[in-house]
Amino acid sequence: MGIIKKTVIILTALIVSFSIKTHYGGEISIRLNEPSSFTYSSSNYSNIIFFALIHENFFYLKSNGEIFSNIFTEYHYKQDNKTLVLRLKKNLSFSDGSKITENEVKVSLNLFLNKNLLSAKRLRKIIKTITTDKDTIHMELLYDRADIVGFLTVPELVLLSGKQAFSGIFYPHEWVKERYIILKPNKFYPGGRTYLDSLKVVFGDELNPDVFLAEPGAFKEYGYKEFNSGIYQNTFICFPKDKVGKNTKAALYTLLKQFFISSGSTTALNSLTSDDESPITINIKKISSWRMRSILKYSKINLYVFSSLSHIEEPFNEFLRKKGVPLETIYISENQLVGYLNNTPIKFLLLEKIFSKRMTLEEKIRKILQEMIFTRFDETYLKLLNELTEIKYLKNEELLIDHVAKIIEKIINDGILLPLAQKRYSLYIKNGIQGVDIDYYGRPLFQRAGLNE
Amino acid sequence: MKKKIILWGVIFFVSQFFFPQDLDQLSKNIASYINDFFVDKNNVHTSIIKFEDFSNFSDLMAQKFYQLLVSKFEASQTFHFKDMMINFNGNSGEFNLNNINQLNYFIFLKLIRNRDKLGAGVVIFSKSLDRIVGVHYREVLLNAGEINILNTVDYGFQSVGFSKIVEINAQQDLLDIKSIQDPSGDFRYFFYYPNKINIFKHRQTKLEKVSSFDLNWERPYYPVLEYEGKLSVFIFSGIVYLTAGNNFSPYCKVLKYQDNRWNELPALDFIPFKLLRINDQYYLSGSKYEEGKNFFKNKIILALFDSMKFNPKKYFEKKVPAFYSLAFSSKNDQLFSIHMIDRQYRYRFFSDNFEEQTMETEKRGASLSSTSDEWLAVSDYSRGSDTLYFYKIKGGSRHLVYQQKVKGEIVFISEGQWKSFSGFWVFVKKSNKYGNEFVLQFWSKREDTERDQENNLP
Repeated sequence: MGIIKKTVIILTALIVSFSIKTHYGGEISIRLNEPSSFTYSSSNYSNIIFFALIHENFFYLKSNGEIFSNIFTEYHYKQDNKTLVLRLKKNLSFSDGSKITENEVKVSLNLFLNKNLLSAKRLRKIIKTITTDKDTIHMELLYDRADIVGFLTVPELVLLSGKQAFSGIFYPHEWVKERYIILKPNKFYPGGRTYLDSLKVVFGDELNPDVFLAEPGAFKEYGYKEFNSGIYQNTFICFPKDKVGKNTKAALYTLLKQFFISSGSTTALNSLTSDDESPITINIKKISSWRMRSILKYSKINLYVFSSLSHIEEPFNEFLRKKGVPLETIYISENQLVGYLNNTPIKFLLLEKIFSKRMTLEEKIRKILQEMIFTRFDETYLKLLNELTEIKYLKNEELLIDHVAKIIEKIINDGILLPLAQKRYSLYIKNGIQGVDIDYYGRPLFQRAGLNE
Repeated sequence: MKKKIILWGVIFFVSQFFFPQDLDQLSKNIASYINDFFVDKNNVHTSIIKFEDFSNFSDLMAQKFYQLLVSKFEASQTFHFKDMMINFNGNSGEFNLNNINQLNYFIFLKLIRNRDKLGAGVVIFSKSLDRIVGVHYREVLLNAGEINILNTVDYGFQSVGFSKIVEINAQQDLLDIKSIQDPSGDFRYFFYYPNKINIFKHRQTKLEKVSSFDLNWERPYYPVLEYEGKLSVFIFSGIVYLTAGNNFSPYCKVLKYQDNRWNELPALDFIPFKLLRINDQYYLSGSKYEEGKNFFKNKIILALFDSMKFNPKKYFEKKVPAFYSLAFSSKNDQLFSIHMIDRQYRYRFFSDNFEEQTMETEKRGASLSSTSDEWLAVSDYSRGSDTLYFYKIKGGSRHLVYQQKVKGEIVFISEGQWKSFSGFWVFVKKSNKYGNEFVLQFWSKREDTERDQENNLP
């Protein structure tokens, strides 16, 4: 039995007791990266943890494969008319007390389907229509998929309110920029009010948080339990337009690689997914510092950066100043990206993506093709993607690896995406904190989190 | 070896023989003095209001002596004696002095040790004369065996104490249970679940479902991790009223049984525990849960009851600590005392005017309940296995008399009846290798059940 499973069983056993009731009260602090807003963003591991606190998922997938929902009282797939029926629980409300109806569910589902995510694109291909009647959502499918609920367990599919209200375990109560956000329990939370009085999300170098992310093995001996998140987070430099010179690309790549490696919190990444599983090691020729400087000095580069990387803003500016490189950085949220790509000639984009170790290599490559190639995704890539699907069903591992290598080579040769750095995470939870469950996607779920009296 | 066992057996027998005799002798002597003192006086209302123990024996021994003494006054024809002791801790008694004005003589009691002798002193104080009117002291010799016996933990005799009369398998989400006697004399049992109430009657040793009705809760609705709820059923002016409140709705359902059906009345914004008569007015007395949590807010609410015509302006609130469990001890609707387990699992005792009298340092479990001014049942501060503590609470006093082990963990305790027996419903969670099992037990005192059977009264 895995250590996570064992711990969860023990913690649950401690919590479900009666003669001594579960203690309500207390505060837990968690160190994460500061979000740019409360609008859902899933570009990095910190974000998927943060947004899971304030936005409720349609469905959860436990690490043991069990699926559950706090929103729907009933869900069943009717094979005869290829329809998934979701029935809302009665009397549900958002954090401000406003009613949760089938319309909010439908709108949230449509917002998700329009996202530039592999999981959304997959679902788009399956769903024919979404209709509602009282407390019920009918999702008619184009073809028979009895496992459709599994598609709805992704972390990005959350219940959103049209107003400034939240469906998650907590709602934001106080935000002191660059320091902390205090989250208070949502007393209308569909899964049942949490035991905690508050959860403090701290940023920066706050000392001794109760929960934090760090590299594996770093804090085992300091009164913390370590949970391997099964997540790694890659940073890439992307060139969404093809009109960028090779020298500029090489110069920017050299600069960014130097920055991330010197920061100490990441390791060099020489593949698109992970060095230990990739069939191809990517060796980009770096150029000398003086040459890099002279190229970048005259290139007038506007580097667009995902806001999930906003924590690097200060050290990066300092790095640029020391290097004497004039580079303008513009931080944009993941949700703004499509709009920017359509209206602004974005040539340089610094982005990060998370991958679950459980995903197969084929899935990871598919995610890269669907989420990071942007406007340079042409018929050649579509052909490669279709071939990938066909080869997958052949169940020939060798063939599959060859094809994945072919795709990676093309992406690199086309100069669309260059890997920079990778972060691996463990989740550390202070001893004495009970009831934190870890889901399939490596997120800590705080619904039943509590402190000893 | 055999000889040793026999020898110890003889010592034990002898000590058992002497222990009650000597201690009882001492208590008899003191009781006799007090009785003789009041024999020529009229309308005497007295109570022991101070009790100190300087004997260096255990608190337990002092309590035993006190109980032996008080038991001799209960049937006294000479004077009215009121037992006001609610706790004995740290060599002195704690007394509920709320009704001290009703007394005209006060008794001070002291135990001292003189080498191998145990001495008891009594001082009688007259309120009308404002002076001491009687002093008496007596010693008895105690041997080592008796001293050992006196320091032994022994809460009464289990054979005459509370016992489990019935055990029924129950659903996990049972919140509360109440029972009433219908006009034909049959009992009706109300089982409160989050979304419904099932009504049963008993057929031999089993329960038979009579009817059921759904409780349709509306928004605002606070989903909970642990359901909690409280049911009250009472008869007023021949009409049965039922109230059902919980921790997931701010409103408490009120229903009235009329024309052979349950009619819903306007909801209350607090949860009644009991109907009480205070200063000849009837009040629904209760509290409110903290929304979505497993404990009550820090107040007791008293709403004037006039056939369910509530006027919010006539609500009274008494501030108390936030609590897990509370029981109003009353007889014929008259309040005698209030018992509470607060959020720190401390037992707290309030007099009938809501004044706090005592607080225990030792922790108890989160459940308690009282039968009408007779017994208080409290669960233990433990996990895995539990204990039921039974206190005698007559007239505002409190003495731990019995304790019984319970297999499993107590979820709630609720006063009630099983057939003609009065006692406590105890809802218990039992864990085994296959998961959790929930059972509903009924505990009653053998003496009470025998008396009840004779009188055919609930």
